[in-house]
Amino acid sequence: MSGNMAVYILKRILIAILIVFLVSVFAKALMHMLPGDPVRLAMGFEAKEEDVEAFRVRMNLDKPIHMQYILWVKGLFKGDMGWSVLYDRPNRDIFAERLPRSIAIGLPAVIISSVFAIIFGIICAVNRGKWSDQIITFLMTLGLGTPVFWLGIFGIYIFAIRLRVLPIQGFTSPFVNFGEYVRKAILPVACMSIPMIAGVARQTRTNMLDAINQDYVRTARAYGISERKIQMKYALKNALIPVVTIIGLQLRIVIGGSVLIENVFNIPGIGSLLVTAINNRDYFVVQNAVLLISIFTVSVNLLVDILYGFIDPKIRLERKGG
Amino acid sequence: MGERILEVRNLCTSFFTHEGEVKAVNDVSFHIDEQEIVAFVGESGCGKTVTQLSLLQIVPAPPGKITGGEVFFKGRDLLQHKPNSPEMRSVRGAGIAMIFQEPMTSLNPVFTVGHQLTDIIMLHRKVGHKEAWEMGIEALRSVEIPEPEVRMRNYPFELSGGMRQRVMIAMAVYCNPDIIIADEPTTALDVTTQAQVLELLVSLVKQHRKSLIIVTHNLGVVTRYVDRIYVMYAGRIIESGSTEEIMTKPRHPYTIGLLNSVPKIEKERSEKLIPIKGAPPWLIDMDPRCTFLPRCSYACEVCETKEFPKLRRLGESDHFIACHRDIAGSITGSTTGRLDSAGRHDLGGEAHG
Ligand SMILES: Nc1ncnc2c1ncn2[C@@H]1O[C@H](COP(=O)(O)OP(=O)(O)OP(=O)(O)O)[C@@H](O)[C@H]1O
Ligand SMILES: [Mg+2]
Repeated sequence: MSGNMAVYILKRILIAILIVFLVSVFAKALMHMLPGDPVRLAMGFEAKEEDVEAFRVRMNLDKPIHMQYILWVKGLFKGDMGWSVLYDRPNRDIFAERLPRSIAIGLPAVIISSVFAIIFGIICAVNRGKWSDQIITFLMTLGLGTPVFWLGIFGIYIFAIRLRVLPIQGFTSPFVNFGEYVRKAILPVACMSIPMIAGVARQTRTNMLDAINQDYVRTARAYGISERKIQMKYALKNALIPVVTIIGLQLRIVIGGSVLIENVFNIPGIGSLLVTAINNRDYFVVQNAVLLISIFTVSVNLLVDILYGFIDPKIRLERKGG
Repeated sequence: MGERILEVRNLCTSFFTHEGEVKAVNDVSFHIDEQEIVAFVGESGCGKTVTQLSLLQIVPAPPGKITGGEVFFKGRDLLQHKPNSPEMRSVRGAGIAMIFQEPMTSLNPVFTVGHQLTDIIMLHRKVGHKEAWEMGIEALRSVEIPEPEVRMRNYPFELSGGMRQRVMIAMAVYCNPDIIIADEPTTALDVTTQAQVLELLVSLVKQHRKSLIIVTHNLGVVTRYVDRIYVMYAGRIIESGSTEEIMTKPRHPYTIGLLNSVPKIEKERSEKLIPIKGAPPWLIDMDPRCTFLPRCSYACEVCETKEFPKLRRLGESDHFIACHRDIAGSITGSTTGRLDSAGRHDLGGEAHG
C-alpha cells in the first residue's frame, strides 16, 4: 500500500470518528426532546415521589443534559455503558446478551442473501427473457413486495405448524447447541434474506445486462472470447462494483437487528431492545445502541470503500494520486 | 494482389425494433483480396459498421439479425456457423480482427491493458501467460507506445484516446489475422493524432502483409492508402471501383456529392464545401425506388418510376454504380461538380482536366 493510500485511510478514519461523535450527540439530544419521564415509566405511576427522585439522582438524570453526556462518554472510555433505567441492569450486560443474537441471525442472512442474490442476478442476466429469468424475476418482485412479518408468519405456519419440521420461534446460541441454533435460525434468516436477495439480485441483473451491452464486451466478443468467459469475467467484474455498495449498506442489519423479525420469531436482540427502550425513554440504552450501530455502519462504509478500491481501479488510482 | 480472401454476397442485416424492421444492411456484396486495402465510405448511419459486425456475427442480437447472404472467408461461408460456435469464434481475432470506432469505451475499464491483451494473445497464439505478456509488451512497442512495460500495467482510463486506439491496433495485429477491419479508427481522435494513427495502422498492415478494410466518412484522409472504394448509402453499396476511378470519375450523384462535401487538404481554400442537401432516408419501410431520389439533383422520369437500380458494371472496368442514369458526360470537373444557382448540376458543362 502506498503512503498516499495510508493518508487517505487515516483521513477517512478521522471523518468516521467525527460522524460517530455527531451521531452520539444527536441521539442524546433527540431522546431528551421526546416527552415522557424515563424514571416514571420504569417505576410505574404508583411509585412514591421520593423513591422516584432517589432513582433519578442515582441515574444522574437530575443533572443537565451536557453533564449527562460527558459522564456517559467518560464511562464509555472506562468500559462502562451506564445503567438501564427500564431493566435496572448495567447496559453492558444487556448488550452482551442481545448483540450476539442479532449477529447470529443478521450475519448469516447478509452472507447467504448476497451469495444467492449474485447467483440469481447472473442467471437472470445470462438467460435474459428465457423462462428461468422470468420465473426468478417474478419471485424477486414478489419477495420485494411481501412484508417481512407476513413472510415470517407464513413460514411459521407452513414449516412449524403444518409440517412440524422447524420450531415456531425462539433462539439458542450456536455455542450452546449448534444444531438447535440452526433449526431455530432457518426461518428468521430466510425471512430476513428474501427481501435482500430480491433487491441485490435485481441490481446484479440490471448491471450485468448493462455491462453486456457495453463496447468492451463487443471487443471481447470480436476477439473470440467465449460467451461464458465474457459473462463471468469481463461483464461480472463491472457489474459487481455497485453491488458491493448495496451489500455494505445491508450489513447494518447484522448489528442493528430487524425489529420485525425479532418480534415475529421472539428473538430478544438489538432491534427489539431499541424499540422497547425508545418507548420507555430509556435514554441510556438508546444512546448506546445508536452509538454502536453508527460505529458499525461507519466502519462498514470505510471497509466497503477500501474494498471498492480493489475492484475499481479508477478509484484506487485516484486515491494514489492524492 | 493475391487470392480472394473474403467474398460477401447479398448480405442483409436488419434490426427488428418497435417501429419496424430497420434494414441497416441491404443486399450488400463486396470482396477483398490478400494484401488489399479497401475503404467503405458513406454518411453516418448508412450501415458501414453493421456490415462489418455482420461478417463476424457480432451484431447486437436482439434486435439485430442477419437475414440473408453469404460471407465466404477463405472459401468457407461463415454464416453457416452459429454466432457463438467454436468455428465462428476461431475466425474472430485470428481470421478477421476488428478495431472499433470508439477507442474510449472499447477496452474494459476494470482490467489492465496487459490483462486484456494477454487474454487475447493467449487465446489465439496458444502461448502461456508469461510468453503472452512478453508478446503484449512487444505488441505495444510495435504500435509506438512509449514505455510499453509500464503501459501494460495501466488501466484504459489512464491512456489517451490515441494511445487506446494504438492498443486496439496492437491487439488486432498480434492476433495475426488475415484481415483487419478498422471502423473509423481515427474519427474519435483529435486531428493531430488522426494522421499518425492511420499511418501507423497502414504501415503495420503492409509490413505484416494483411488485408485491410477501412471504414470512414472522410475519404480525403484515406484515399492515398486504399486500392478500392465502396460507397454506401442507406444500407446499400451504390458505387464501387478503384480509388483512381472513384476519385477522378465518380458516376453516382451521391458519390459526387460526398466528394464535394469532404475537405481536401490539397485543394485551395477558396473552394467551398458543398454539403449534400437533405437527410438520408429512414431505413424502415423504404421507398422501393432509388433511395437517393429525394436528394438527387440529376433525377429524371426514370428515377421517379422505376425500382431501385441494381448495381451495374460500367463497360469493361471494375467500376459499378447503382443509378438509372449515366451522368458520365455531365460532370463538371473531376470531384468538383458544382451546383448552379438553381441548385441543379450543370448538365451541359464539360469535364475539364
Ligand atoms: N442496436 C441497434 N438497434 C436498432 N438500430 C440500429 C442498431 N444499431 C444500428 N442501427 C441502425 O442501423 C443503421 C446503420 O448503423 P451503422 O452503425 O452501421 O452506421 P454507420 O454507417 O456505421 O454510421 P457511423 O458513421 O455513424 O458510424 C443505422 O440507421 C442505425 O439506426
Ligand atoms: Mg459506424
